[in-house]
Amino acid sequence: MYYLEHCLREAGVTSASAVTILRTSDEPWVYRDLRAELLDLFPDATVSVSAAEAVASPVDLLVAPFTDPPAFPQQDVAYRHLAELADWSQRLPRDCPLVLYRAAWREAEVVKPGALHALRRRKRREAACVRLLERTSWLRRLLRPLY
Amino acid sequence: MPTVLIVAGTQVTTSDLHLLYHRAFVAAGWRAVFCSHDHALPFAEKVIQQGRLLFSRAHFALVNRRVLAVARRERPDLVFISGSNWYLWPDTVRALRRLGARVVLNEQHLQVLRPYQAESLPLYDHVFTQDSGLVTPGRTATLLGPACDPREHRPLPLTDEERRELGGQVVYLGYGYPNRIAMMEALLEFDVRLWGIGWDASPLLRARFRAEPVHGLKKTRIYGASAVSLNLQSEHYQADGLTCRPFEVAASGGFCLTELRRDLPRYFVPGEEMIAFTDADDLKRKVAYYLAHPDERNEVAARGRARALREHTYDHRVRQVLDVLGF
Repeated sequence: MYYLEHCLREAGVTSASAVTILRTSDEPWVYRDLRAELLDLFPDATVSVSAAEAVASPVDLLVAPFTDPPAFPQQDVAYRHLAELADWSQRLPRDCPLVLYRAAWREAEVVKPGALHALRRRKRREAACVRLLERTSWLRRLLRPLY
Repeated sequence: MPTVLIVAGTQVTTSDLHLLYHRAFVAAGWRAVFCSHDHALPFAEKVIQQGRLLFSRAHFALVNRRVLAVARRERPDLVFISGSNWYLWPDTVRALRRLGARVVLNEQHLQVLRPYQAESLPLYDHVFTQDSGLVTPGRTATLLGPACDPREHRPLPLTDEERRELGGQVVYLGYGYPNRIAMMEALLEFDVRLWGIGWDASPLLRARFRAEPVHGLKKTRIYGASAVSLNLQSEHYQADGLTCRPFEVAASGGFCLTELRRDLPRYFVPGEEMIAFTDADDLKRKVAYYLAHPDERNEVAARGRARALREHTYDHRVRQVLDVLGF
């Protein structure tokens, strides 16, 4: 998938030899699809699937897939994973880039090493803002999805 | 090294064609910068874009400001507006040209009639269109056909399990527009598999629909795992032209049955390199025939693949763009 290659390159990730996909979902297809894409992109890499608490080092790229369907206003599904983001910011290697991969709308965000904590704070602010929008009826009407 | 700024969307489509143009520009020795109007947006723009304010003045203002900011930073030699001009105001096109860039539109959806789109048309240095119906003699418009990317669309080894999981006798991958739903409902006697969005609107098709996202190599694997991949056009987005689906299926080593369009013979020899159908009855007949004649199906697929790789890749299209513009 050139999209993934493009996002990684824009973030400065041009090679990887040990990739771990975090087990975040019960949907088997997301691991199968991501593994195929990552192996195509980095043919010599080992790609494993693991829970965050069991990530084996060394690892030089982490991928966290979110398979939740988006909802009003198609807000970032990462808002529903703030607790995991907090946990990962403590637990995952700080020198390793992490790809947050929203599968439903195919959006990859590459979090630079050590930036996960700041990202979680930003996502928490945005989630609070979205909750406020959803509570305000005229804003809710204005911002409900067009399609 | 010359710089191209590609302005396009990247999400919620079944083809990555704008990104594949990005890759082809890079392969042609250009520095390519991608400015997406639907990816990695600032929070406010994202909320506006995804609500009722889509296409509102506020939304347009944010997109136009961002595109101009990127252009001022990157100083492109060429601005390639790909897909359609969904957002840029005529003043923005003028401003991009004042920065010294050649500005071209790569129009793929027949979206030229909204006031800002029509007003921008004479401002472009050139218009490329995927549909020959938009090419008017004497105007600065050139047909730029759909294409494939052999690095993305190629035969992939498949296990028996993958074939069972992903393939079917007849597969369609894309949006479930009403005309497409009607066409697929006519094929229920076959093992039909549907991927994409919106197919669950039909109770008859719901059981044949897999609501998993399909992008990148998964799409290539689906084409490779299926006996017949269909190309059903959109009533709104194509007149004489084809989508890139027949090109992608062909390059993936699959067999494509496509709706007949006037542009087809420009790219493939009908009946030899690509098979076309005219209506639901014709489609049914041809599906049954080619399912019963796998050798013939494979020969057509092989000829189609050879033609696609020889003449219809994004590298070919970018070369055409650069030749027309004199770069």
